[in-house]
Amino acid sequence: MRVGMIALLALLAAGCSSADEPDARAAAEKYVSAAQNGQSCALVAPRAARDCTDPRLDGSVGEMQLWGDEAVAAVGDKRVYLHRFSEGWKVTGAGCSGEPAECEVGGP
Amino acid sequence: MKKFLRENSLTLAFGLLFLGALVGQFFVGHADFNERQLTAGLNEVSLGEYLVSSDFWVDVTENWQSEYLQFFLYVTATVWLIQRGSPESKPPDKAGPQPDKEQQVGQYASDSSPRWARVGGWRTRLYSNSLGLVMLLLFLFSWSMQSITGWYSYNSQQLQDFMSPVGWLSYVGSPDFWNRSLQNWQSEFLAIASMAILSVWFRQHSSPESKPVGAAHSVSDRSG
Repeated sequence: MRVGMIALLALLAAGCSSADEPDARAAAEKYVSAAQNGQSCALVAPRAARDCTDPRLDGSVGEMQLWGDEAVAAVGDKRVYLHRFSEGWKVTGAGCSGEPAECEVGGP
Repeated sequence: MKKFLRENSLTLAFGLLFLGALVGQFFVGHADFNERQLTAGLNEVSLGEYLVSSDFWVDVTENWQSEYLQFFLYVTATVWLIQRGSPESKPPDKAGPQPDKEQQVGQYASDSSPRWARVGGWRTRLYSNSLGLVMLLLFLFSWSMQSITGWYSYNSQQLQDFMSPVGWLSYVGSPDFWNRSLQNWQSEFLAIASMAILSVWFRQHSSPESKPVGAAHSVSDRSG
């Protein structure tokens, strides 16, 4: 049982941190690039699509953290939140700052 | 085969009940998780994704750790603590560690005693406390697993709520971790206290967890 649990946790850790990061990072980079070209609303989750605008994002995607099906990317002094849908990663909040966050697109 | 089943029926029956309940928890947990996902405007997850999710495993391990804590404390505290009249307790005059003769260790061990009970030294000391130690290790292991799976689940929820993830040390000091731990501990401690005191006055015919039906309320250390 113990070996099984350790294996399971290793699987969880591996699944959450490394295997999915390239996909999440690619989605974040595509979104930032689209936002700078005024075409980012096609890449957001349905809930964030209401009143969608292109956020002001300066710089490129920096540090990323993945936890389960959620990810957050630092872009300059702002944050971009993503969720993994069955069709791939989509942005749920962008141009976010503060805690609790205020976002230019989506968010709480 | 029949003999094996009869002689191990307690472990087998509860092992099967455990598996049945775990499978049930898995399916209703999956349905509950997906309901919350849809409410949050997110997508449903498959059974396979839920099986390896931290949300499922934190719910499992938070219950496991409290059960092993309960039995660790029960096994070790009853060396010293007494409840007069309870079949779960020793008689008041036997509180504390008992002599080797009574415990059948060292020179008082018989040919049928386990080897580590006969050999003396550290092996006999270790074996003399092995039940409590195994329960303690299982508690520490499952509590650690709760802290890790809970940390993943908590940080996932943090990101879903557009907050920042926290480090493991911050998580084990968080209300979420201690709420999950204490809500399980309080029920286990209530169960022990209830069993100790209720078995003074109430009986279950033919159960080793009860005194014989006709035993006096004041009698401890007898089972029916």
